[in-house]
Amino acid sequence: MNLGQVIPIARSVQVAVVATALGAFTATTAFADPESNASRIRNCPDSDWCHYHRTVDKGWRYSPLAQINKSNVHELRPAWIFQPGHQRMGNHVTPLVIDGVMFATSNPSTVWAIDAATGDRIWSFVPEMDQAVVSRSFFAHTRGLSVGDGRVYMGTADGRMIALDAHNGEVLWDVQIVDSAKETAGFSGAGTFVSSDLFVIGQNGGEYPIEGKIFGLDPNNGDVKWTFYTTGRGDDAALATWGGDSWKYGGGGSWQPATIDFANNQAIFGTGNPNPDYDYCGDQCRDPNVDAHRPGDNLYTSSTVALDLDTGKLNWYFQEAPSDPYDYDSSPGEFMIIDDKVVHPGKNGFMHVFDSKTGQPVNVYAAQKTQNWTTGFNLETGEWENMLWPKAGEKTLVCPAIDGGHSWNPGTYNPNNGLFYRTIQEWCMWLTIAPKGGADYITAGTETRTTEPFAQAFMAAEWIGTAPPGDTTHGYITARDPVSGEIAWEKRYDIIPHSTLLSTAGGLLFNGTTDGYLEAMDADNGGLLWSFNNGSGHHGGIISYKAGGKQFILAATGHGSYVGRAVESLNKDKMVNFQESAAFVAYSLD
Amino acid sequence: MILKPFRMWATFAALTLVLAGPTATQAIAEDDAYPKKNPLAGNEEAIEEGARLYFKWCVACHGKHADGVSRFGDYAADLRKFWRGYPEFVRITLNGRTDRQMPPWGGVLDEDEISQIGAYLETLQLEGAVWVAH
Ligand code: HEC
Repeated sequence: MNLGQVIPIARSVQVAVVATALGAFTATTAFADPESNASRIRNCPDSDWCHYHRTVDKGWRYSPLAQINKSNVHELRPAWIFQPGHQRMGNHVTPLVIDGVMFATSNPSTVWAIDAATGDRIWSFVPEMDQAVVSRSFFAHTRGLSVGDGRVYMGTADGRMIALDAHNGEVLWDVQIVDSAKETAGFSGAGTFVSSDLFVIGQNGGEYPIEGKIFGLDPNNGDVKWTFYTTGRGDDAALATWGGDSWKYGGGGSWQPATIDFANNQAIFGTGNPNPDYDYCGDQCRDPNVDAHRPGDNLYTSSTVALDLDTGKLNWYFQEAPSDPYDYDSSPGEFMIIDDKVVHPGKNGFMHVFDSKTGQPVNVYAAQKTQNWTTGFNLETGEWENMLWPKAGEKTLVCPAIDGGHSWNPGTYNPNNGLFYRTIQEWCMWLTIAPKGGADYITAGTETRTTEPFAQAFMAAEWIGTAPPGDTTHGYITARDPVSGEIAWEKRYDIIPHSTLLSTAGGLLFNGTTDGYLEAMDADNGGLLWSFNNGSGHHGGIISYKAGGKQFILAATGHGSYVGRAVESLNKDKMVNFQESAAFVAYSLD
Repeated sequence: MILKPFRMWATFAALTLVLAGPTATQAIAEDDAYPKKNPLAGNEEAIEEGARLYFKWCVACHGKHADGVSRFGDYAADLRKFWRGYPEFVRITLNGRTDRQMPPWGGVLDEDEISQIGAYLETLQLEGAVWVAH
């Protein structure tokens, strides 16, 4: 909320009354007593899942547990099921498990504490939110939450950060960080607890004409310690890459959690696309002086950014699509730290390997087979070569589709065999960018930039998902050396899976298919060792943890993210009944 | 950036309660608050203006054909098949169905503008659509 600004009264009064009368709703049936001090979160015990990607500092989604392994995985069976109830769009969350307690979220911003051994609910928390704001946001869903120092940190769809007492779910602090009543964008939930002094999180926003931001907060009280503006505020070099004041409406933001590179005291984030998603300037778009919505390279959107933990200042960046003409934002895709490298699978269909200290790209290779937007990245000149610049009003085949060659569902790196496992999506789109002034054939968002009385989604193009030339849409799980790109094995899926992956010290790789199956593979060759029909598609986290001496595998099930819907629309005949359902299903050996 | 701790928000809410007066919901609670038929139905100017408003405020979810298919897939209701009659159209548009991701437009659009959008949508109606209430 900006200083001096008043919440429009007529629209917020009903919600406000509810908030006054009831406050948020916390239901407690028991108390949890998990040990979650900063040291435990930073040095996550083998038994736990401490961060969205398990550890704060790697982004690997690798569990060092091996009780469940290749020789006994065929005995795996459901141990308990927890259903969070009606939830639009299924589970996107990756739950955390700390000291035997599972912390999970459901859409839009509900928090659950669950006994990880039994599935019994310990407490739940439903924030009262401004329903007008939440209902008009396209991002009223949650990817997860964070825990540290006895608090649970939840970013809400209406732009607040709320800290709850991990023991009983009571509100410790509740701070409005993003003016969502104006910006429409808010938080998708999962941030990163860095230390007792720092918590970092980005707001979503590439679809909205706003200034996207990444925040460093004090986990003790929610005070904002620093703000990084993804469209360049306060940074002359960045502002020079935007025509006029277009940076003020330039979108960006960052909607997936960071990985912390402690060796270089920095947080690695991916930023969202510039707004509007598409622009009419064709092959002139990189020139900040041409007539366009957002002429110029639009730094630091669609980029990997490394931010100093103390100040939030930029250490380095790499733009994965300059003046992004395709909506290949860099928020999706995990940021892995492997030795002294940062590795990022990009929505642009490429794998990016950077020197973590300098940001110098050391290898940038195509992971998607059918991309056509560039002939590749030239390490010597530092340029993407022969970029495709779709002309306004002309239907153009662009691969990958807007939903990406890689999407936000993270892969996993197994340090034992050095292989990185990742789902790759082979699909394209017929893109028609709206000409200047808009056109009523656009499918998406308003025709012109709308910021009053609140931001409206602004995308300025029409796109229709389609198969890659000469094939049907499909996906791969690929196992490869993440730095060199050398492939060990790959496995084709005719319906793109949009699940997170999990690797374990038991030599296993877990995946959830779109048509319902949780499957365990031999990590060395992809051979199927076990599967179970969850009766629902998968987008959410697959994790492993130990509780009561037993190793569990847990899948957050449910189908219906936007990428999932795109998959569904291309596979309608095979996808009946998989929308919106959701559960947490835990498996163990007995 | 000003921070808004929960307690401040609550105090503010109590204040707005006193200041706000009747809300949109209260104002339209009476059964016959709206005419059975859109007064602007068939009016060329209204249809044109309604289309402009539709493409500003509604298209993101209801899509360019008003069939409910947009950037985010099969997202919203198919308004070409709207069958609840004009008074319900106004009511739903003003109040939304926030639990189903349909936002309230009271405070953004006035009744006249909603009639204009309705007039535009009536021109797209498919068989089975009902705009005149019984
Ligand atoms: C943020 C997305 C969004 C926007 C913007 C939006 N709607 Fe909706 N609308 C929905 C959804 C979702 C539904 C379906 C709700 C349900 O399932 O009950 C809906 C339902 C409706 C319905 C009820 C249809 C029926 O048959 O019951 C009407 C009328 C309607 N919208 C009108 C409008 C108008 C007019 C606008 C523009 C002023 C608009 N909507 C903008 C999402 C949206």
